[in-house]
Amino acid sequence: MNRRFSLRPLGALPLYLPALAVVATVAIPVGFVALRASEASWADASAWLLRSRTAELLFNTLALGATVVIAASAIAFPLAWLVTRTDLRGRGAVTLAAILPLAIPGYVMAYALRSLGGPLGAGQAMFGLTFPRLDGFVGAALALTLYNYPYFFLTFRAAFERLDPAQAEAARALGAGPGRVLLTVHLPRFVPAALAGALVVGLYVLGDFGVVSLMRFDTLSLALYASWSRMEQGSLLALMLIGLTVFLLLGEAWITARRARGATSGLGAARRPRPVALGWLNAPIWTGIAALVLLSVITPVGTTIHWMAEGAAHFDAGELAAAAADSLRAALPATALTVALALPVAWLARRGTRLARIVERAAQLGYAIPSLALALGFVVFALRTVPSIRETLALLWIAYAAHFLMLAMGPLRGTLPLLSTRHEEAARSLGAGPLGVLWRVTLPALRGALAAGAALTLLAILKELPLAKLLAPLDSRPLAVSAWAFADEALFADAAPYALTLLGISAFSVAAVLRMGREAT
Amino acid sequence: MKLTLEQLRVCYGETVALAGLDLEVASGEWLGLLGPSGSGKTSALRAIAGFERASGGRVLLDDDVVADGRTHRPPERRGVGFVFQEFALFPHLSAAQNIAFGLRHLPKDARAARVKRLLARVEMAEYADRAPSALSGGQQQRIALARALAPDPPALLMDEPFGSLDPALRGLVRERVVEALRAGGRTVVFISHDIHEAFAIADRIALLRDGVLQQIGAPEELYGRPTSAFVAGFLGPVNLIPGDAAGQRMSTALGDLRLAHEARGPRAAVVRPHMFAIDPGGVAVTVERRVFRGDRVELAVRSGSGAAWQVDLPTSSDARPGDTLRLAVAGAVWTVPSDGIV
Repeated sequence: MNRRFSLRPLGALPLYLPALAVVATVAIPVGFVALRASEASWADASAWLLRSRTAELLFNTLALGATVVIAASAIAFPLAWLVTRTDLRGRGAVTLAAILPLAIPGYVMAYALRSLGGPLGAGQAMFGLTFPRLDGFVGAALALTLYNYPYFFLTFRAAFERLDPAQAEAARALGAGPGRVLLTVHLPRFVPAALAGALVVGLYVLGDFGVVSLMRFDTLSLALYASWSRMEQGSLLALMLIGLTVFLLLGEAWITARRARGATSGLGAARRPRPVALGWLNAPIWTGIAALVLLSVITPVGTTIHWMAEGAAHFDAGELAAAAADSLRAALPATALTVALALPVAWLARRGTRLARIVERAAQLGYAIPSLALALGFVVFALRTVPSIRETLALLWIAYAAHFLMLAMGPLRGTLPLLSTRHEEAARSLGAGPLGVLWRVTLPALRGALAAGAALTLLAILKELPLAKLLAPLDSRPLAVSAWAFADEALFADAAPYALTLLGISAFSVAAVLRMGREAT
Repeated sequence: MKLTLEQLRVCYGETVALAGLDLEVASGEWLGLLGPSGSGKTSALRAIAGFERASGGRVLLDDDVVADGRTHRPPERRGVGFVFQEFALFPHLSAAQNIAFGLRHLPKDARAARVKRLLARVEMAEYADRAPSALSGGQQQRIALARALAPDPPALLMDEPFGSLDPALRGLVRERVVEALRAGGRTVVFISHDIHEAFAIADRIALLRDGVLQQIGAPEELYGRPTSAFVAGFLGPVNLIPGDAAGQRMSTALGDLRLAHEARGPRAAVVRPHMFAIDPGGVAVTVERRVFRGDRVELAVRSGSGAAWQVDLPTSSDARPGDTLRLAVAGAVWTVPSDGIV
């Protein structure tokens, strides 16, 4: 029933101000990128757009994105099937192993893979084998695939678990053979999962800076970084990246809107079908899983530890501590700001008004827009309005809030529906005023979700690279920037302490996500 | 507490949910609000609680005006209890803490004692520390009720309080709740979709449709003496048999009926399926369908003139499709205006 809120929990202002702030944090960088790009003369801009270099960058970016999406889903789909539909032993351990690569930041993966090959590489030292040097397209595609396939794994696994055998049975009863059941009943159910995975992974590749820079593979993002000092070209590239992002988001929304939402009909959870017996297939399957874990988890961790040992002689704990302090100085205020914005915005989003939809879209866009484009927008904004904030952390904090708001809102979206307007009304009928409702019901009920959102955001910011690289003041060198800078100069042993610290932080964040996922179910 | 609604209007934007409702609920009375969905019964209940603003008319608690078109006393200052259909227990508080929510004005010891007493009264003492999510539907229902009763409100509003319980549990929980509430002597207004439930527990029933009150009265009155075809049909299966009334009698396809009240002109006789009886002097009908219901047999019959009726006979009846029966109605029948009958 269409029932309005006739109870105002608070005045409207405390909700609308953060909402407008969120819209502004996304509108400002996009607006200033567009403004800067529009200042290019039409002749220059079209000449630049039409030159073969631009076409090459676009092609490289799309080819890399498509390769990673296809390769990652090709790994993830059979793996998801194995852990949900077969009698494979140790399905829990395999599941964990398939999620673990998320704990390895993309640039650490790239650093490990790149430092493995060649005569002076870690492979030579560890195994006595000289691996070919991995870089360029192959290196970038491999690193990004290994880092990203867990996203596909998670969505496919969820899709397999939702698959209701009753639907297949109904199709069989109606005369469809196993082949037709697979094509007409099962496969269509995976399209939403595949689309969701492709969107996440595609956007990641589009915005990736760490991997392509270390692998020396020219994409739009890397070109934007290279042309950082030439703002005009940079803003045109940024505009292209934003355009591609919007195109992907709209495309996904368009396809999802045209498809009916798949849901199990009837009551209760989907019944589990009898697991497929693997039999003699066990041996090749385990070989494959072992190879995957070796490549995606053991290699990066082992390589980093190897370089750590190599460089142990001149390890400087003071520098590491200074970098960690720089990271925290950037991350803690940014987390506080992000969570403070997330609560009113998530609250507002629940109302489903037009403003709520706009704010949600803004938060989504802030998360999806490639970091380099976002950073450029904020720099142009700073230079045009208050140049002095260019050299402060404030600009970085705001950029982080714009980028990670979605992340902080995630747990809130899960919890808010548990708290309906009925609870508010119940509290009011029991004598609590509007502020009493906020203080005694809303905030306590959301405490867990707020803490979870804060933890996710903090850990994500600590390992974030491109925004830190481009927006942190010159005298600040956070962990991620330090690891990347040494790796970029092939000083692999110097990069190791930072990379190892980041691995620890990432493992923490993945463990936190897994725990929350378990609690949610 | 006496509740009074005077010409109460509730609108959602352009939509009129309640178009001028007049209602008076005496102190200690139980009033059941019935009606199809969208009839305005929920809006009325929420307007009394203060969750909805009245866009016109007045709401009075005893002689105290709490809402008219301009002023609106917020729910926390009305002192009326509310039990939600979905219970709406606070998810972050235990059962006992939920009950204590409205008892902030009491000192700590008195509060704990009262919570304990309420828990015992709804037979939930051993669940005091459970989270709402760890309680079954029936248990949540009882905690929700105890929570609403904790501040000892003089009036209690319940929106389908038993609606989300599974049918097996429903009767039992209802009996206990009603027993617990009757003892307090407080005024109760409740919404129900279950007519038998409303018959069983209401002193009076108000039937709404499209935001307008159709009839109000004791359950027996609404069932036996409806004022319209809609009321007659809403409260249970009915045959509305048209005819021409002439004072105390009316001629219909079922023969010449004796009326329970004086009427003239075109009317419709209200004949419930159970009012038919086998009578050798009655009207001949053909049985078209038979459904065995355990305590009775439901028949669909057609008269020689083509009228289709629903008839309940005792289980002992062995009437089968194709059989011919002779039916009559014993006693005087009630009539309603025949307009609106298809």
